Amino acid sequence: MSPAERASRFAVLDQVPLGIFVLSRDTKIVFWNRCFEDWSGITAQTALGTPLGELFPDMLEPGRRARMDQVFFGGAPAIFSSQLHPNMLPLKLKNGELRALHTTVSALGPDADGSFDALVVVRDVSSLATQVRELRKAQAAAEAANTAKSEFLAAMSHEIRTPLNGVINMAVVLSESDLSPEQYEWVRTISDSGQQLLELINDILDLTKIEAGRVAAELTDFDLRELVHGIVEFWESRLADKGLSFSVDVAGDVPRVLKTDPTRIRQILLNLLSNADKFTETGGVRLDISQRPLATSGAHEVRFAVTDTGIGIAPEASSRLFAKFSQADGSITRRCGGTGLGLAISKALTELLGGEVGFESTLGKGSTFWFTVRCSVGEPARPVEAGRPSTLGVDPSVSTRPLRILVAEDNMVNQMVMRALLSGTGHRVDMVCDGVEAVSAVKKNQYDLVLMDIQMPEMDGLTATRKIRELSGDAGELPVIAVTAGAMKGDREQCLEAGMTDYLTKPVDKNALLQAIARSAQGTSTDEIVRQAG
Amino acid sequence: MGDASQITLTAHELDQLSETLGIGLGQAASVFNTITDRHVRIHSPSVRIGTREDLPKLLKRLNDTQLATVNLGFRGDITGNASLIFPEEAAANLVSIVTGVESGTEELDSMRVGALSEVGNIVLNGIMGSISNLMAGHLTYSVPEFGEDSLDQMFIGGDLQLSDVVLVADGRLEVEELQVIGDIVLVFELDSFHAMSARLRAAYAEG
Repeated sequence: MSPAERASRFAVLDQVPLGIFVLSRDTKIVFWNRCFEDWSGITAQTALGTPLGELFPDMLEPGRRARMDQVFFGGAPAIFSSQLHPNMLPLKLKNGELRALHTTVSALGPDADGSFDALVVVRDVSSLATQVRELRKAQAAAEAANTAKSEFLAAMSHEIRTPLNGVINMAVVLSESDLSPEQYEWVRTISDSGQQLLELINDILDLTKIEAGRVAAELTDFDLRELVHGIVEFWESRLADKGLSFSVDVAGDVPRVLKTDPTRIRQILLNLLSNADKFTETGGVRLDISQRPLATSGAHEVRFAVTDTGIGIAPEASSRLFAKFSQADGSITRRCGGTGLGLAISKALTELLGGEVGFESTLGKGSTFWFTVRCSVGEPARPVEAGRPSTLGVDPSVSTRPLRILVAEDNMVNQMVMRALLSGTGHRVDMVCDGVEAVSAVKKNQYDLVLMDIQMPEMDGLTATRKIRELSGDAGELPVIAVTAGAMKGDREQCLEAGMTDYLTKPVDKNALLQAIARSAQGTSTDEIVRQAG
Repeated sequence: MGDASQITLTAHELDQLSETLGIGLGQAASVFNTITDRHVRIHSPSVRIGTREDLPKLLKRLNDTQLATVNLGFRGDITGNASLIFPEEAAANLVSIVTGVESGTEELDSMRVGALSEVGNIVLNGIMGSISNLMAGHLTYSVPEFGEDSLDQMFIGGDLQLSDVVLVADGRLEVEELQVIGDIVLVFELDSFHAMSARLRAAYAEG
């Protein structure tokens, strides 16, 4: 092929935004495109007919030449990356930096004489390399921000729960003392306000965890009828107090045992039923449960619908209903409370369970809020649920004998709360201020159990518990109940791993405290109760 | 059309095939030696054989893993596709070894695609060069492609048939005391596989 024929054959490559040149078998340049002229600063007129080695000597150093020779014999294409060959084609960007290049050398031909030319295509990947670097930096920054946010939340959760423990429980203690009706109302207001603040903190933490992807559905087999029974028990009397009716209808074809996350379903239902209660003054509330089978064998979509005869929702409020900190009617919220996060949390949890959430409403007549859950049929005779602390496992026929209890707590207000909660129970309480004193006290005296705060000076509760477990005899087997303001995921597991036998979060609920003490006296813990039930 | 059930090779033929691939890998190792300035060895692989349908079983350890691959198509006396597959972590280690840049750095990350493409190209060219010599015929090649995907996405679609024959070889690349394992997957159209088997038998008889 003559040079003119070659030039004509490759002319279209002048329009391609890649650096392209063609070499004959003797490595002379037979084509040099416009893009490569721009990048190299070498005109086609100069390049044509010149051996490549005179323009870019590094490209033909022996190792690379051997690979290119294979191409001249019709072999497979050869790739050269500038990461491994930085000086092979030292072309510069406008800012003076070397271009990052990806070079492919492919066989062209064979010609009539059976020979092959080499087509060299050079791609500039400089901007891609920069983009990858920037993306990685952004990803690292986002991860650092997420970590910082979680750490801040954990710290705030702890710092806020500690004084809240004082507010709520001192109000409880005060309410049990001799008060006038007016004083009792004041104390009740203090307690209610504290509870609302606690609810707000829990909701914010919950939503943040869900948004950060730190909440996963815990799939377990459970009896749907038993879940419904628990809901009816609680809500029937609560709604009846307001003069409202409550009814439940479970369609006959809904499987009895389901495999999904019953805790989250209960949480969503609590939110929807609370709203129905709040916004309904006359009539009643109904819960309907139905199902439809899905294409996947054994899978079902179960639908829960809460219908009320309440005030309904104005059309202009509909669009923001599932948004955070949004209430359709602020006046009722101001009267009845609420964080404005319940529906946002319900939506997030429903999506976690593979479902959807929605509502229909008529202003002045009532609303139906529904959600769906994707689940499979569970296996019967499995544990109902795990980890619910309330009345489980406390044998009412066993009265708790007077116990000698050691309380390790550094905060003065919390010490006062503990003494007040335990007064009148018959238990003898010794108080220490840190882990060092706790271990020393356990060595010197005989206790029946320890109530251990976690964050303390000198020695924290986890370390103190580990040291107690190292003691020989009964002292080493002492029940240790964690009483902590830490409520983030992993806190409970950390306590149990350190050797603690039970776990309570601040603000401490008096009933929960007494039940945990009774369980310790029986020699069981929440986890053991779960194992026994299993 | 050939019979898909007749895709077995005798023990001798498998040895011959392993040796053929080994020669190609040896040539690739020489190229690496010059690029990295370090002593590189690539072990002769053991070869397993099956159909396209058998891939998940043949590459079981790569299921549910994100993979980096370099692919090279070929046509001529035999037609098919050659791939070099690394799990992501192994790919990162390999790039770190050949570039000398520390693992886990941003600089390494931006080098990854280019460096892996070239590594894959060197290994596959070595193998295809050796196979092409065995066939004593001419093959034409596609431009090598780099990809990142899971195993089940990698080998679907295109011109691949379920009856295509698959050869899987474990390639162990050793640089001094460091070792990286990658899988070489050769996919042949059925007729091509029979042609290559016949050539292997002839070469063995001659040898």
